[in-house]
Amino acid sequence: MPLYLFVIGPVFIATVGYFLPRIWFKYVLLTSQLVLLGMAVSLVVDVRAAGTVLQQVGGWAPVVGIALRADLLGSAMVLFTTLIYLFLIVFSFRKQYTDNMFQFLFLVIQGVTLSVFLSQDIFNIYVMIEVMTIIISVLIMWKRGKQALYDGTLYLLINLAAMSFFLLGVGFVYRSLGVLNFQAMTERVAMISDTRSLVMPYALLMTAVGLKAAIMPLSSWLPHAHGTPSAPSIVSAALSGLLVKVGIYMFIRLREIFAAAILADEFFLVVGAVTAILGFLIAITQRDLKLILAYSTVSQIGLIMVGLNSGSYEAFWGGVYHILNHGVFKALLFLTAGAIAKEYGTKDINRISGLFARMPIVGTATVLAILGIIGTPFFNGSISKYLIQTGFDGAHETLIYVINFGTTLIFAKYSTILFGPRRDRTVPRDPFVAGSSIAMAALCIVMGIAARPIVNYLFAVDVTVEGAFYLDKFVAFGLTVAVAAAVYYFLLRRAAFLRTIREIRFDFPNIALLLTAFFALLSVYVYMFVA
Amino acid sequence: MFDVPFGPELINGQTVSLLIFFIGVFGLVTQRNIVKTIISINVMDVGAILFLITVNVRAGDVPPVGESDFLRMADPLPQALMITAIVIGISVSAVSLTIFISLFRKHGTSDWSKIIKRIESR
Repeated sequence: MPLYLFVIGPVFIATVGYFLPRIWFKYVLLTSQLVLLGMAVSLVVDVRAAGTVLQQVGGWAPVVGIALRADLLGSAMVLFTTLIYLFLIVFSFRKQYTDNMFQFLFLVIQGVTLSVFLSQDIFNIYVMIEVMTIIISVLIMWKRGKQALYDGTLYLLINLAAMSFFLLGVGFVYRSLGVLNFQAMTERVAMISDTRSLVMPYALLMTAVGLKAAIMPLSSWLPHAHGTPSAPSIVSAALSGLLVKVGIYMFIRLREIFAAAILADEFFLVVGAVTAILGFLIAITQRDLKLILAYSTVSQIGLIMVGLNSGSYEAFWGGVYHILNHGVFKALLFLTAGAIAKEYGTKDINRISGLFARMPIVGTATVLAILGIIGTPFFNGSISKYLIQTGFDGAHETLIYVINFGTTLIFAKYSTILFGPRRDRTVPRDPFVAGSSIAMAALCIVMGIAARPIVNYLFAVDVTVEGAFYLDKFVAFGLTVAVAAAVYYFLLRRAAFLRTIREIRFDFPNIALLLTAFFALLSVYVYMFVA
Repeated sequence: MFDVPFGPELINGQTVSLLIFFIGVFGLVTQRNIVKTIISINVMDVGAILFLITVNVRAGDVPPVGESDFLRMADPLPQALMITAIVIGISVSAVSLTIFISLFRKHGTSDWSKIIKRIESR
């Protein structure tokens, strides 16, 4: 199957559909998502059966032109993207804001994202990420709220600045290696004797990718972009569930490419741990539903980075599996948060209660997603967290417990919306919202129970999940939840200091300063200790 | 390691482009005006583009156009790529400025810190 169909397909359908009547476009969109999902499944099967698929676009000689390549990781990400998109589009089937322009832009992002996962050319990826940045900022500002305009502008400009770093990094790569193709870059990095000449390209590219992935000093743009009040909920879900993973995916690729010369795992391990811990500390202070979820995304990204950089095989694949798991439950949480906010007319967590009684289906989906994210046994989060944990021993294992405790604490706060007396208001229910939510919640359970065959098939890695581990886990899990609930109820519920932390905001020059400082720190660290 | 030659040979495409790039970074960090932020990003882009164009260029190279001497031709690949990057730069500035206009109309200021104060004081 030609891989370029994954890129051209969504863009073509978006262009044609734009000129159709709105209701036709919706059906075309739904059909196209089903077709794309089928193509992605067959691609995944192909790659597992016959090995990596490599295709040259435009008939150029290898290395000169752009190559599209689907390997284990790439094809898994393609499947993940199409699956999440299907859920999002079903969810928004009856929403008012999805006019033709919105659906056009939303579908173009899909094509662009897929091309990032398939492309082998680093300049091509630069172009695609620029396109993605522009479209996302337009979608964040879709309803033109005052706050959303500011958040969208901040998102756009800081990402453009980071992509300038990326472009200069591409220049350095071309100067030192003479190629822009991932495969050829990997080969030539291994041949370079003076590894210090690779410090600049490495630091520039990793700074840009770090900002895209929102690791800690660079993540202050993320919560407001993902959690801005008036952004459509499927945009928030796509951003937090899917598009932030583009940064992490690029991190994995670049880490592999430079691994022969520069491997700064310890640095990113520390950065990941800091991201995870600061992320949940700030999340606890928030009161807005969407902001809590957005800061929790930061924390989870930290956990993924910890897994990827632990140096252990199981923990690495645990991190990759957590990318997929986090995508499912965080997208679901954002979607349900949107539905809840619409029903109650507020996003303030203190003014929402009795969700179970008022919206039973959305409430159930929220509970299942929460159980997934805090790592309940038999849910998907537990498997990836367990795999990440096996990469550590002794004192370092405590780190994972601390991060998981933090996540549990966040959602102890979040789950206060579930209970309480029923206050009636009859609103017509939207079957598409309910169906999509329940399907994603079911996926959380399936990815937990069938984790071993799924990981085994998707990544060709045999992870050993010991039989007795569930017993241990139940005890540890029960303790974590009990302590977190107690800490929240007795210490944090009415604490005044939370307000001061909540109101810390960085303005643009400060964020740019953090970006520059991170670049300087990374290049000095790599120059002194690694290269 | 530190015996950098200070002389006319230091003024080449690469040092100049790096200088331009970091002037852009300086503007990004110090300027509070949104228009100046957009200009700074443009300056950074220009620096990066100049860097890529001057990669692998020797004195006396001819532009890779038409039927010029194959051996004395400059490397055509970065030049082809940078046309794309220039086009992206233009569209990006256009989008940023458009968004800035609507931001300015809503908030009535072009200063980053004032916008934050106005959002918080609501």
